[in-house]
Amino acid sequence: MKHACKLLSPEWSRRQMLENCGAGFGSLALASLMAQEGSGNRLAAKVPHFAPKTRRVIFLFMHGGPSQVDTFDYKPQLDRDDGKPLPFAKPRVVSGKTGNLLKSPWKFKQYGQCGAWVSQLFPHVAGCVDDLCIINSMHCSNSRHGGALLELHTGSDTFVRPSMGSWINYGLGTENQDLPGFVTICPTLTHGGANAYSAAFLPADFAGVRLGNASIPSDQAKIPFIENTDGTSPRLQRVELDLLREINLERMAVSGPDTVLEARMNSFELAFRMQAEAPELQDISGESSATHRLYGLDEARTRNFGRQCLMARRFIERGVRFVQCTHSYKWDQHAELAKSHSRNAFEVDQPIAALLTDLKSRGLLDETLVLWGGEFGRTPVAQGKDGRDHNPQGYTMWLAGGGLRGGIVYGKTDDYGYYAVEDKVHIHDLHATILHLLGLNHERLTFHYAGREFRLTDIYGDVVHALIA
Amino acid sequence: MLSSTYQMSTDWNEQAAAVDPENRLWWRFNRRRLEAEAIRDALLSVSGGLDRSMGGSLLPTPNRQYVTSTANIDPVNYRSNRRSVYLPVVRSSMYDLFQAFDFADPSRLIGQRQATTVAPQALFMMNSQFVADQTSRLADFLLARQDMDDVGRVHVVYERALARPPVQREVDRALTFVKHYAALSVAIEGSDDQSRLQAWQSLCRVILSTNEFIYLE
Repeated sequence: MKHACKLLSPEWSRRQMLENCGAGFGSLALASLMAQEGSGNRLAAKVPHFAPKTRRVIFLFMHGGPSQVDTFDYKPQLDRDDGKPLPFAKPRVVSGKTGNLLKSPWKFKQYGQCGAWVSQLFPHVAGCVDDLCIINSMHCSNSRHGGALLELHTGSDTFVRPSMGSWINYGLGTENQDLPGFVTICPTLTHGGANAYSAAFLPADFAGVRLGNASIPSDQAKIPFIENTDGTSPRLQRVELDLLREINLERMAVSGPDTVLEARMNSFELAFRMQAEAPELQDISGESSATHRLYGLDEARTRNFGRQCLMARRFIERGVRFVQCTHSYKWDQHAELAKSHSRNAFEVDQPIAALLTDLKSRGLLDETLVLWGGEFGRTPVAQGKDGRDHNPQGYTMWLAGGGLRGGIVYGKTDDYGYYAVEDKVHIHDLHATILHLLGLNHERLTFHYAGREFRLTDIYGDVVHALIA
Repeated sequence: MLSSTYQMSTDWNEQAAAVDPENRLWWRFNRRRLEAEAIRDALLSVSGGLDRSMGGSLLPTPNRQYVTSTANIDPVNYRSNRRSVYLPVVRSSMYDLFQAFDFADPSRLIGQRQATTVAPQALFMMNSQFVADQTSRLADFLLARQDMDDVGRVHVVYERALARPPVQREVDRALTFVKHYAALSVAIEGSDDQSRLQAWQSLCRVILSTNEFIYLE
């Protein structure tokens, strides 16, 4: 164990590396190994702890906190007791002042073979329920956006810790050396912003690569610096890089062999390949018009998130390990629940269903985990006359894809949907389960920092085996 | 810092390397990559664009307004030629140059920064507007110097970027490259207007992308 940790640490010395590569110092074998990897060996695909059930993750983040009782957690008693006081105590710590019970403005129906209840807000996703694993008993520790958002992404609502995408890349490496292993499309700039995809104390190359941000439309979100700003042709750039290589090699003959210098030389070759691959990757005009329609790219309201979902599929197809799409800070309905939740759900419902359908038809859903949810849910009691407050006590997230039991509804909240009461799943448990599906033991995926080993799940987390096929 | 060990050079010694390849016994100074701020300042300085004025803030928003806002806006404009120490550090929205070169996460206590070597850094050197601006400024300056020939221009690039004169082989290679690049540029783009400028800009980009520029020896 100790040895294994050392292998993964950034202080992995040259001697250890050579021992483990079975190559002699300064050997050509090493040079060719480095030639494949821009940053030494760290990002190379690694063997997981045990056989994985899935290989990649797409996280569809609904920033703001969608309401569970208006989407996937049907509460007939909330309907009946509309306007009455909550018959039990509200949490000691709340986000704001709330009043009496407020019924959902939307009707629920049962869908699919499994008969899961879904509201009118998600008619398209409802068509996919037999592939979903709906967890109605999620809970987290923080009732404010900033803390809850970090907790969801990093496992800690108090300190800045590595994002789950960074942990997963640290644990598994990347499958495509020409692309980053962790990509986040139009991430939110608020409530912690970059901390949601930072590598924190993990080596910086495990940080999420940001495509655009929430202030720009997703069709303008590109891999940083991937396009040549002054339009130099690839042929000229090749000539330039050849000269650079020659100068660097000549210098190295004097300064002595150095794996870091070799790695930097090779990073330019990798960059050149990335640049060649990226336009094709980022250009969706080659997708069929049926695909454009499927993702809702032909409709103004669904276009933005639809493009994010389509990009996610394209990244996943090319072996990117973790892709996050963000529907940024829209779901925070302290007021105007009916109007705004309708708009939000409309913007994401069709794109999400399209992603699930598309992944499935391409045989990718078996090896991809799709995760949907916000940083918390909302209260079944009213805020003002037509809003709901934050609720970390009980809410819904769903998973779909490889290794999961499809068409199940797991866990329960109370009769009104306020507190998770049965088979509770904390964010730590969700993280442990996601790592487990990827073949990683959350207690063994550690990194030594500030004098001790750290984990995504800190000292918590139980794998929810009931979700796993 | 006054110890002779600290003052050693990074020079390679084959015998020492055979005994102590990791340099645990400090037979030389370890080569260090410049930090994000130093890379930016050095690029600006070499191009002649560095604005050394002191004091003031580059953050356009009043105190507390931006950091406490929940709006998804990014008001920080990093397109300044002031020294890096004056650039705003916004925890939720890091400057992409800083982020590419391992700027320490401003929300963490970090005892020592990483010095990673990854492809996005190469992409930054190849494609970023920032590097394009600096190399084009430097190339403009070189070609405007009527008082010197191309050999002199190569000397200026090397001395500014690497703090040493080029050896003859380097001068010859640079001149061959500029000629070849300009000719190829004409062949590809069919116009001669900018080809010489582009070739010099390209040479500047190569020199600024070398390991010698970015590593402290």
